[in-house]
Amino acid sequence: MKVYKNKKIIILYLAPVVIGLAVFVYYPLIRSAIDSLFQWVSFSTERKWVGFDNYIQIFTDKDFFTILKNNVLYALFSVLCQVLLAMVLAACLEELFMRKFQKFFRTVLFLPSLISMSVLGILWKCIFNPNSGLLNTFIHAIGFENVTPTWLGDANIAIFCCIFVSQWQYTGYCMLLDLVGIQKIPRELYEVAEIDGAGAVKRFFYVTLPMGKESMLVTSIITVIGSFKIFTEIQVMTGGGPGRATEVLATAMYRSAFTNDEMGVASAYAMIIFVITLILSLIQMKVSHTGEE
Amino acid sequence: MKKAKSYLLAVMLMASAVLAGCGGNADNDSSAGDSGQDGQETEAPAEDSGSETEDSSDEQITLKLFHNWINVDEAPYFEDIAAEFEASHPNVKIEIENVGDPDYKSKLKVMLGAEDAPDIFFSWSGEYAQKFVRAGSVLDLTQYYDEDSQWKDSFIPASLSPFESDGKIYGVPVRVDCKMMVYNKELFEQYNVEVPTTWDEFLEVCQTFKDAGLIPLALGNQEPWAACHYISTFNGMMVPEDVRAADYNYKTGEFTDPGYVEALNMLKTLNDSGYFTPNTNAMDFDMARNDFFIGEAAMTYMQAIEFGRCEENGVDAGVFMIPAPDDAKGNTNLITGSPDGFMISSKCEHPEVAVEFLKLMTSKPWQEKMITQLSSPAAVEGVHNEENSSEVTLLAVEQMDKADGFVNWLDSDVHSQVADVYVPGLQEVIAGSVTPEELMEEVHTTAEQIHTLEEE
Amino acid sequence: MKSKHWWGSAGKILIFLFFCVFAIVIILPMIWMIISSMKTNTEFLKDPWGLPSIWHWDNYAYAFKYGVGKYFMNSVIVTVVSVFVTVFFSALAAYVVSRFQFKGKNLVFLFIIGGMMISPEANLVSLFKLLQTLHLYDTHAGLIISYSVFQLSFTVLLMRSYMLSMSQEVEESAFMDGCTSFKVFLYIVVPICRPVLASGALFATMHAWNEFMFATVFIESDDLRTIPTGLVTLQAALKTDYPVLISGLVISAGVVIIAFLIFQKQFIRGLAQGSVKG
Repeated sequence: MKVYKNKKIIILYLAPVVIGLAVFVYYPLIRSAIDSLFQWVSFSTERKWVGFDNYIQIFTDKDFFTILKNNVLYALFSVLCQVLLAMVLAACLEELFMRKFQKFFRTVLFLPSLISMSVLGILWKCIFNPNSGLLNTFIHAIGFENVTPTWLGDANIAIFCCIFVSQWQYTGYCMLLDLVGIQKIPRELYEVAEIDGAGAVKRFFYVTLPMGKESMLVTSIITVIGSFKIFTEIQVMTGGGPGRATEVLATAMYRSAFTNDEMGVASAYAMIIFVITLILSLIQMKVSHTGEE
Repeated sequence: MKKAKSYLLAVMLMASAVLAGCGGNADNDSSAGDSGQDGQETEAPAEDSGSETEDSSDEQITLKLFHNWINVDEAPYFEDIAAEFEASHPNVKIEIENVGDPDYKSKLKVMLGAEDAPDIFFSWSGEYAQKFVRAGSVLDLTQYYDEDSQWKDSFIPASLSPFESDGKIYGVPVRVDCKMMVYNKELFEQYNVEVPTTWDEFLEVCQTFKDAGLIPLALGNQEPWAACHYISTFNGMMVPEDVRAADYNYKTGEFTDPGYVEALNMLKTLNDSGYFTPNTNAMDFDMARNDFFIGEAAMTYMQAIEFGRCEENGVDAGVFMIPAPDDAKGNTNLITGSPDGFMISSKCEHPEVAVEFLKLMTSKPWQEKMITQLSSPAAVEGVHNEENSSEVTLLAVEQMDKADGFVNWLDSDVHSQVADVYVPGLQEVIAGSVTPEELMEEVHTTAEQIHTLEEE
Repeated sequence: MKSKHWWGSAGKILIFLFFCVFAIVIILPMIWMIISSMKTNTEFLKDPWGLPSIWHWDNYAYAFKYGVGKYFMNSVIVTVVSVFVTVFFSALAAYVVSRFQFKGKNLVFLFIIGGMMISPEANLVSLFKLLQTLHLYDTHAGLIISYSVFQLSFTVLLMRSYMLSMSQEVEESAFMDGCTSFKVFLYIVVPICRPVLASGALFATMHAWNEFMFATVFIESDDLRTIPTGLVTLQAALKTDYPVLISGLVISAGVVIIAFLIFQKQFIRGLAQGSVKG
């Protein structure tokens, strides 16, 4: 049809999206790349060329290892909970004996993902409070009166508390998506498996898992990408502390930019986040065949 | 049924869009009202101190004011001043914006880089202000002070110097703040405890309350600036004054004096003996502070600008300065604190009007009102009296008069990158994961790096 | 099939118990949040498991007075507008890339979905500088644009695949009747695509309603804050008044949960359509 070749319409309809992306997504990225090579502060227009010094500063920072380790830990636990555990839970809910409770558990487990992370962060901060929080008073009440973990105040535990809150929020969400996925698997496959005498566990390994393999791979990568962008829960619950024990890439960037007056270093952090997420996204695109005609 | 629901959803969306539109308008209206455009009369004394009111020109002037009082009882103070100023300067409009701490520290830097930077803004003194001076973001006010020596002389002498750089003055102090140990008088009486005069006595007092099952010192250090205030004081006591001055200057900072380690050890002693709120690193500052207000903690290290809260919470409070150890090598007659004030942006187009506004703010009536409404000690002399100030505030003012000078807050007095290592490190020292020696070594390394960075 | 082994039923009980524990771990904090929101401060700090002696409903009034109402309206404005902008412009672009033929189409499409590979975190600093230059810093418009642009790529991709599977016949006959392309888009394409538009809107809503980082950095006036950042500010402004703060949390969480419970089915269908974490 001729209309489908009308240049005016094409340009007019595409313009908002293309311009929006160009100005607010692509351009700032290029700016970050350039800015990361300068030393500059937000309250002055003066800037000094420093080459790759900002990157060197980051890589030689003694806390850089902690920062990366925290992001990797996040990724590890997120894949465990939001991909594997969520899948197993979804399969369990599809079992006959759980069917009548399915709706209840599905709904309840999903609820946390609706609430904004900053709200949950404040809530869990109160729960983790060692002196008057829900958690320690519970531990004391069941008889362990001498056990008083300081949770967010303990450099060794704090990051796991933050990770826990993330998993608490998102496992149910992922389970729900897996549930929808499982329900799309043709029933016949399960029936055949059952006739062959496969129990629930076997059915999971021989039908559910192979059928859901691909989507699990994709969600794994998306989850890992998300783990390298973690910001809110850390910022709200610990602010990166105690010391620097819970610092992650995004909070380190925020700190460099807005408390340390090192905008160049912050831009370098931005580029590091970009490169990591870009590589992961490319892998994801390859795996999921997105964008193919 | 399905259809009905999605229809309902659509209607809700649309309705909220319409509401949103209205909300937007309402917002604008109310903000205009807030800044006192409608010329509302305020109870504030209407004495006009902006004496030279010769804005004969009809030119409309808008000044942006940026401050960090967000409390619902305190923020109106600035709206009231603006209203009075606008009443006497009909062609001037003051736009007020405020952000609370600790966001304010970072937001201000960001705002100053923008084209529509605030004209008048609140700032701490010391290094925090100095770096704006270095970047050329703030206006040199020396000429205005020189033109009006009466105004200049009205300030407490020590309050101007922290805003000085190379003999020029860059800020207008509006309050002086200091940190003092506040104690619960009833508890001191009940346990028969006297105000300590030596460091050892201070530790004994803490021990007495610990034995009694009370928290000796309420401290929530989840955000480490809380412990940083102790260290500000201890550094002042333990490190010779000239050495500390050199170290706090980013150009010459070394941080190798043994006094810094001793100061950290004092903090560690207080924590390891169990004198701070238990699990202090995991405790929210205000949550821990609350124990003092309900009588479960005997003392808390408090800023003068917070003293009003003792009375609000019905605590009969007294104050003293933490006594220094006998072998202290620093100046033990310093008080921890600083003048805080306002600065004028170098981009401000009407500095003379901005200065006039600040003159109004530092006029006696408004300074008095600041004592009562913002419960902050005033920066000008002779406004405190028994009527407008509490006993503790008067004691603080007296101490400030007696002191040789201020030890500024560590976190706003050292280079921000040094603070970034030093301050969070305090949590690690308290937790025991880093020794005082290790932390000071790290601070030393960072300070050296800054030399090379800034020299290039 | 009946389970033949004793461990079969033991396993079932264990699985059931696991779900119960999980559910309790989720419900308990929420109930605690609701109860705590009506306590006095001392009750909250000294007896976290207890019930309030008097149920302080007025905490909610205070929360509203201290700004939760304002934050809530701001969130509604920002969310509604950014969702509308995202969905409308994405649909236009998706329509073009799925129907129209032109040179460089693949390139344009690649350009659009390439945006998905750039995370908002990587752009935080320079986007903030850009907004400052454009005088969009500390405005709702700035926040709305930032939310929308980072949602565009995904939404276009989502809609394009749906539109590709759609029959072209109705549109073509409409064109024959002399309709303009915009009319065809508005009265034929949009209605047919309703499910996928809803799905795109859902993701955009969840993103805009909960976003924290941009809202922290790009908004500075208290009057413009959205709920996620507003509550964090409130935490600082209220000093020790925890129950009032928690009332604010309940208000924020409650609205979303109630909306979900009402539109649960549509919600889940929309999520499944996108099938990606928001």
